[in-house]
Amino acid sequence: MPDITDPVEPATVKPVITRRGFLGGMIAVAALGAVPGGLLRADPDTPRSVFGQGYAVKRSVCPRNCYDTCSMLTYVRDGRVEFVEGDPANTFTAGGLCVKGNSYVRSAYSPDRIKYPMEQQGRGSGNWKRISWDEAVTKIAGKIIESREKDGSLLGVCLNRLSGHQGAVPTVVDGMFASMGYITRLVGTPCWPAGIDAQSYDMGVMAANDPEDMIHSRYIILWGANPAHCSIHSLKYIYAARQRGAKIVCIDPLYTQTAAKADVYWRIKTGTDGALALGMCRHILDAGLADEAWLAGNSEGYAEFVEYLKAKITVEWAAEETGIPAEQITAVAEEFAVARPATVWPGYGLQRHTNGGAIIRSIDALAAMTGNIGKQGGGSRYGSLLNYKFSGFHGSFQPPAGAKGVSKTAPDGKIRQSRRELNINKMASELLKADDPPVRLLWVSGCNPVSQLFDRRKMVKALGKMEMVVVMDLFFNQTVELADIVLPVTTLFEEWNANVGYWHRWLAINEKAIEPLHEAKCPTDIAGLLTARLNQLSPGFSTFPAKADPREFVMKEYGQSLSNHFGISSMEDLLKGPVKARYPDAVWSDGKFTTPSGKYEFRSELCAKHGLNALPVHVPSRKPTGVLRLLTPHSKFGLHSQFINLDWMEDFNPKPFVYMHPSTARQRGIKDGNMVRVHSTVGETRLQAKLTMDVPVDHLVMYEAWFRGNQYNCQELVDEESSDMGAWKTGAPGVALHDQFADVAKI
Amino acid sequence: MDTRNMLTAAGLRDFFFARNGEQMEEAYRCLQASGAVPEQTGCLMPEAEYAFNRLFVGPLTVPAPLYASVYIESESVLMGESTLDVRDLYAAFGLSRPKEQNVPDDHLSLELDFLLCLEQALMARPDAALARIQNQFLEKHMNVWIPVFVERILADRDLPGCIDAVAQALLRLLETATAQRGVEVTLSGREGENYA
Repeated sequence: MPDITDPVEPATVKPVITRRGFLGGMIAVAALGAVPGGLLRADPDTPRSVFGQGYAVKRSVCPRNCYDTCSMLTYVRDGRVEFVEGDPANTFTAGGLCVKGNSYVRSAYSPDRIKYPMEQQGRGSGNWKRISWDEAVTKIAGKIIESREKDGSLLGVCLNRLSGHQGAVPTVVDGMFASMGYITRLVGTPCWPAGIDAQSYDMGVMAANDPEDMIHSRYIILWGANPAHCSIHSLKYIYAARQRGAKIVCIDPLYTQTAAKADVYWRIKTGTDGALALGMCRHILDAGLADEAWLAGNSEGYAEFVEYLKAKITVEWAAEETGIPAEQITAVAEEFAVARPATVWPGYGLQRHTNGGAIIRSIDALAAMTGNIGKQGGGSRYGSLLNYKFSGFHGSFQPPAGAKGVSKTAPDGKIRQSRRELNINKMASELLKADDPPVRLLWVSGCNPVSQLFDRRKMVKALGKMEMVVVMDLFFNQTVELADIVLPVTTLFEEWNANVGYWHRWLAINEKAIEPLHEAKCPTDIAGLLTARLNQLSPGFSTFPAKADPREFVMKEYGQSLSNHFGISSMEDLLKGPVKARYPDAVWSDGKFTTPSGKYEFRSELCAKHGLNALPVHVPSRKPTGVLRLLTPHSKFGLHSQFINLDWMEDFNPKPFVYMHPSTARQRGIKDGNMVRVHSTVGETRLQAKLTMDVPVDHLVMYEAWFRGNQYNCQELVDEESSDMGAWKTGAPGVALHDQFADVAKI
Repeated sequence: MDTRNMLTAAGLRDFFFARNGEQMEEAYRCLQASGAVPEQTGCLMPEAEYAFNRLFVGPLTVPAPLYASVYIESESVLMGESTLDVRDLYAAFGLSRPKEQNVPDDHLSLELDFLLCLEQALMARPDAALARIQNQFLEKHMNVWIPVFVERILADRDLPGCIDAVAQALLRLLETATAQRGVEVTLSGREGENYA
């Protein structure tokens, strides 16, 4: 909060007119009449009459896909958001945001925001016409109705909704379509699906200790995770643990900012993490450091796992596979085993491989073998689905009777209609292939597939096949560029929402703080408008309520589950502040795993049934399809394609680079700063080279981000190769994002 | 401001507030009628509408946003301190922006409308203090940002003739209004009289 005693003068220009300046010595001012046919109304607004008038403080919660899901305080004065802060009442947020959160005021009031619904006359032409909301929903409704007439179902309508806008409310877009019938929906996620399945095979469900309990850890392995980029609020607990004597180990092919803060950094050969974990397990077995008591009482299949380790795994082999010296593997393994509690944090990049799920299973095994599951400060902490206890009201609408979709035979023998599901990680191929009926209308919400999903050339071709493309977004991006209709949406300040973390355990409400700017609308209002038009044109088309009040809808996300979990008696309680879930720091402390056996499963019959290995065995990653491995990790200046377009970010992060080792560059005659082409069988992109030893030899690193006005797109190089797991819990396998290969040449 | 200039101001106001090509054409015809833009140059559609959106509206980044704060504040922001000052000024005279669209108060069209409200009042009853306010609004606000705004328009490489003509008309209106007002204040010399 600006301190009035702060001696530093803000750099803003003083406004050139002020009310006092104008009115000078005038004592009384009478009203001016409005001009006939004019714009200004003779309807006095309340001027800012009191100097130093206080702020209205509203509660907000960041609706982004992020570990930290910050509780925020938004300061409003005269109907304008002046600044934001992290809410100190949320101990995880602890009063601070990240560089992206602090830029929210900038994005809300950016002149670049999409202001009105617009129609592109000729997809990709750049010829945009402004249309009214009425015109927009009429056109879209017309297409939806036509689609049903052609196909006898709504399977020709396809929803691409992903995590660009999170919380209870964005689900209303699903609810809107569900209220019409059965559509095609892209399912799965590029994010973390292999790991979710892996943890679910091992323990029953993906759940993690409270990250705030890391202060109790005596040993922390940050494995393919980069909290310095992706979860800055977690760092304070890691530092606190270290203050108390904990050792921090970071395992990553890249020397990241997190690696720079660790006590031990291991540059592992990319994709060999499973071998490393198993090598450590083998040594722990040989050294007699396994927690036999815990294993006897809480696990299933440990004996088979031991047999496997003895037969197939040695530390020497692991050292050969991973590039980590054997004596270091044994040292760290022993330290981890005796630390009590010790914890490992497997990141999401870690499992974006063809063997990603297998990797996570072997890391889980390491934590289990050493008796660290179910302990405060311990665990294999990947993420938590336990906190998402909203009633699901926004998505709960049902299709009208007689709606047709895909016929499925339910377990009870009855034929039921359902939606058609396509794999989002193969979106381009799926859209091209879909037939009977083909996809006609693509609706994009909370996603920027042309920038962020895979095989860009194919993606552009797929969009070209669509009869209509509708995109909801805040700013122009590479997907809007290929849309027919773009709909302006609200920022967090202009809408109601509620959100809860998948890492920490805090639930928070997001109050509407200001009126939407221009003609932006929140998703609930958009749903209400479109369904009302559909019902006008074709009565009974949608069951979505005629009166859809966003605030009321948010309050309806309260239910028994939320009450049990958080101890609140209504959503209104959250207006007083964020609330933490009421359950023990350590998941699985009661030993009641939700696996078929009720135990931690080294041997998972279910995993075998799904066509994989029952045990957490070693599975090698994808064979190279090119000379250099291409990694496309997260930038800390943006969240996928969000934020990077803001001028505040462009000030210090104006353009993309491809990072490579000096020896890789030297072999190709590339010098620091040269323009280069990164190319593969999938496609190519052009950008500037930066030489650094932070990346391994034989690797290329490009951050996955979209830069305004720049043709750079890493998806030119990324194909749709699947990871081993993900289909069970998320509907589709994950994508092997870090098993991509390319070469680079000077331009 | 004489009647022609008031008609020009109204035409400019409506042009920059146009929601579509038809509204642009209607406003443009007013400007032709008041002699602000040449009779020969028409508004070629749909190119003029696409250009209007490209320059002023979106969905891409626009080179010439229609809001004063973008040019006045140290950062190109909407709803800046200067916007609230403009809101205050309207409020002092019992005027406010149309709420339905949540347009920032310092949209060019709203400011032109305010100019017209002041002019209308002054025509009904001349008053030195009110004239001074109008003069300040012109010189210390509109003249600070609108020339930069016009410059950005004229720098566009694909500028249709009609938008070029409108931009020039806007600049000329400002020059005329400032010059006229200055002369009147000097001549009337009636200071300290409250506008009641």
